[in-house]
Amino acid sequence: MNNIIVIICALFYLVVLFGIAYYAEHRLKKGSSIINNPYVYSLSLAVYCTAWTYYGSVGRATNDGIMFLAIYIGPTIASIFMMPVLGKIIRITKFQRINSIADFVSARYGKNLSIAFIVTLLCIIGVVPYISLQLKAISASFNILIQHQGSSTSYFNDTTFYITIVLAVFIILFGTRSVDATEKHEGLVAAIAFETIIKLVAFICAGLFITYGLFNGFGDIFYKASQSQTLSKLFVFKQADYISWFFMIICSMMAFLFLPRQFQVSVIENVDESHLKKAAWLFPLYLLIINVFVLPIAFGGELLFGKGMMDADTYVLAIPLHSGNHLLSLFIFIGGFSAATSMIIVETIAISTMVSNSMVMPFLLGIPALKKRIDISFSKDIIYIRRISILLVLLLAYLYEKNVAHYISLVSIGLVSFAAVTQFAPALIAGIYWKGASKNGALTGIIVGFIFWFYTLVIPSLANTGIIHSDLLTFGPFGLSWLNPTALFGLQGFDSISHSLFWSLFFNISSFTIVSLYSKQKSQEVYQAELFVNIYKHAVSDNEGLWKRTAYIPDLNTLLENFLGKERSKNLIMGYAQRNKIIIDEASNIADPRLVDFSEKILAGVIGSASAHIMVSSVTKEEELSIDEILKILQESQQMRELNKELRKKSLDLTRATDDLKKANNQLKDIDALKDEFLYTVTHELRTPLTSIRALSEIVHDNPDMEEEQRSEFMGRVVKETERLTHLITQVLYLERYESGKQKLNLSSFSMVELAEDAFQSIEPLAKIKNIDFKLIHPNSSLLLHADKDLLRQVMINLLGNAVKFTNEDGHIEFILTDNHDEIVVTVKDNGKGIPKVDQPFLFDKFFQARNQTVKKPEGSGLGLAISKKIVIMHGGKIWVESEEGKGSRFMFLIPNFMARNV
Amino acid sequence: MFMLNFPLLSLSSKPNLLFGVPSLYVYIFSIWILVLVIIFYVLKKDSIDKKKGDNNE
Repeated sequence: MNNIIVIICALFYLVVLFGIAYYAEHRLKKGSSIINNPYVYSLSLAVYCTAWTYYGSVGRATNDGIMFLAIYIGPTIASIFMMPVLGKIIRITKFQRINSIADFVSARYGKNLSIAFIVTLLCIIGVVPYISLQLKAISASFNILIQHQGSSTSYFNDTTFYITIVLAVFIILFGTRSVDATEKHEGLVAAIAFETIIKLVAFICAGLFITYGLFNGFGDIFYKASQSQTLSKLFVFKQADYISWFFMIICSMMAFLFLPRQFQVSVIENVDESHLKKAAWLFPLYLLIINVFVLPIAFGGELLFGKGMMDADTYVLAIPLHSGNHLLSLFIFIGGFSAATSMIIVETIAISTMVSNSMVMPFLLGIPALKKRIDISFSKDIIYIRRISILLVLLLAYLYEKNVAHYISLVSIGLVSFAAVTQFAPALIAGIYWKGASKNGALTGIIVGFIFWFYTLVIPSLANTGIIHSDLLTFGPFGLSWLNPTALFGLQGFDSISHSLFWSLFFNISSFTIVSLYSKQKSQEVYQAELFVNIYKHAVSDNEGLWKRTAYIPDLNTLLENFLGKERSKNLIMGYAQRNKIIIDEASNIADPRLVDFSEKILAGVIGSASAHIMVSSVTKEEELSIDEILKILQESQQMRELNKELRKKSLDLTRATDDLKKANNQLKDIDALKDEFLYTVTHELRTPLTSIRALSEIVHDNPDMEEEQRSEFMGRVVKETERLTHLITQVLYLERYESGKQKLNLSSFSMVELAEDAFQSIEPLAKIKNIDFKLIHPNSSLLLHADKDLLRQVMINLLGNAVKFTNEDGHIEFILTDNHDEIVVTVKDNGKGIPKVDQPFLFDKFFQARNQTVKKPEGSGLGLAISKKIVIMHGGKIWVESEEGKGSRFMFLIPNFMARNV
Repeated sequence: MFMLNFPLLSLSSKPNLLFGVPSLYVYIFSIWILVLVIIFYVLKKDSIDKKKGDNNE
């Protein structure tokens, strides 16, 4: 294909990007943001998929089968577990106006400059080769498209150079609009989202063309592949693959969070935290879709060209080209081009921010001569520094690609890069959950991890290319085989990435933990740790500055003006003062501590938190809080929390007590109601005999000439009614004593048989009157019992009396004692009229008889059975009735015999 | 995470074809889709609950 056409297409594509970015910024000026929605956010996250995904996945799939997928499974799993982590990072970043990953780490560990410097340096070493890889992909795909054979000649390499220049212009135009690096790059993000769509569509087109155009669908490709000896091996995992698979997942999870470009799009460019929720499934879905066709393309390419005949990395482009479909090939080239450029754009922005803020600025601010010069406006300088950084980063990547890249196999660069940023993970994740993580610990962990990363991954790849003697890999340095960088300490059976990850993470985490535990934190560190770990608590109240710093307002003003310009800094300070109702004291010109904190935050967005802290400190009169004071403040909040906890516990107790009280109250109410009812029944019962007494005495009183015989009969009835009254009152008194618990058992040992005979004899005369057949049946033994004799006698008399009362003349009554060894059962059996089933449960209630109107004339008080029940229960026994209407009834009670039990 | 690692992964790592696709690939992609659906529903439910909570306040 004509190379001019291809170049024109590529340039045209870049012009479209410019257009989109420009349009987005234009829209923003009019007040409507197109990046402020979860879909654009999710799409921008897919900057994760670079040219390495686009071309490299297929290449890896031809060698390792489905192993390439681990790189995409990782972020999917991260979507589940890491979303809270990411949410917290975003919140902290917004609150502290952080502008890069180096800035984040440094801010957490006491706004320390050296840690920011180290992180930036490592990012450059780890990630710039990755940018080169993208440039390489562009030039390689260009080569294939124009079917250029042979290695490097001058002009197509120049194409890459020009493309690099155009990209640099693009990044400078849309990436350094504002001096404030925390401001969103509206146009850039819009362009990235657009590129994300292009690369997906292009890749899917390639997949569809190969799978359904050249083959008959998935089944066809896999069937043919299964016939091939070499390809069918890729269908399964080798035993060693599981380890690589696992480490790859871990590594890609971390890379997804902490690669500078990922941090840039997911954290810095995040407009709204809630967008994370949509992205949590949209982004993995994107990864899923873009990976569906990787395996068919890989197998398709192998089947078409034969194993090893062509570089598998190029299949995506080479297959359509080979089958003569030029238009499609061009589109696929553009897709790969978009994947590469999106990565280059974001990564360069992220790294150049770090370089300018963590390397150049501190250096410039550190030169005393320049420090004096900051009176002259500095804000233009900052933008220029950042632009130069962008050019430098791109130049570095370009030079690396031209000079070093062909020594090293490019395939592994992506993973090497992933492994490098994984070294930040311990310090970062622990940093937002563990207050004890200290600056020294983090610094040690990162450096140690990085040394191991370098030794076990970079050195071997250099040795493989012959820059270093390859004997190193077989025998180790100085012939020390345990120092062999590919099998450190003799660890074998791991692939190089897993091997490196294992050792670097192992030493990283352990040194980080140990040093953190044994190092003392400075006060600034303690404060920042508290802010980061408990961000959700602190982010609510913005103004709780711990540092009571004061400064002269003019000093503060000049400082801000130098970096932001006169107009803006004035607006910012006035706006903040108004929002928080801070009165600016014109006379003394001393700024409120909150204002000082605010200024530092604003500056942090421009030059990074570490530099900002130094700058602001230079104009403030700061009472450096001692570690004790900080601990005191933290302790106070701790105490508050504990107090709070205690209060909550107390209130819980209170609620419980209230519940108990309520229950007791309800019980009382019930009892009260019972009492009322009882009183009502008793008075009712008392009134009946009283009425007849009164009536009879009135008759006698009003008729003095009454016949003697009648008078004595009347008087006899009065006496009888009075007796009944007395009896009733006695019974009520008894019952009252039993119920209130005043009645104590008067325990003695006696023979139950004797007691029964006694009761029997008392009742016998009554039975004789009605001519009832009355029998006492008892066992031969005397049945010794330890109980209250009088009370038991009362129960017996009561039951027997009732039996006599309710049995017709010539009836039978049996009074039976049974010995069940550990209990004595007393039965009174009659053949009277019996008791209806429905009444039986209530028989032992007070005044049951009175309420039950089936009994025409009450005989007895109606309290006898209730009293009997009380007595039996007091003895630990029970009383019940068995009866059938018309056939008589059987009253029984049992008393446990503890004496027999003890024997 | 557990479902996508050894030893569960090894169960499907066999050289046979399922619906014309190697069983390992079928397994991994189905788990992936399953995870997506779960995230989708959990977060959807979450935000609906939140909305309800907001209305109540």
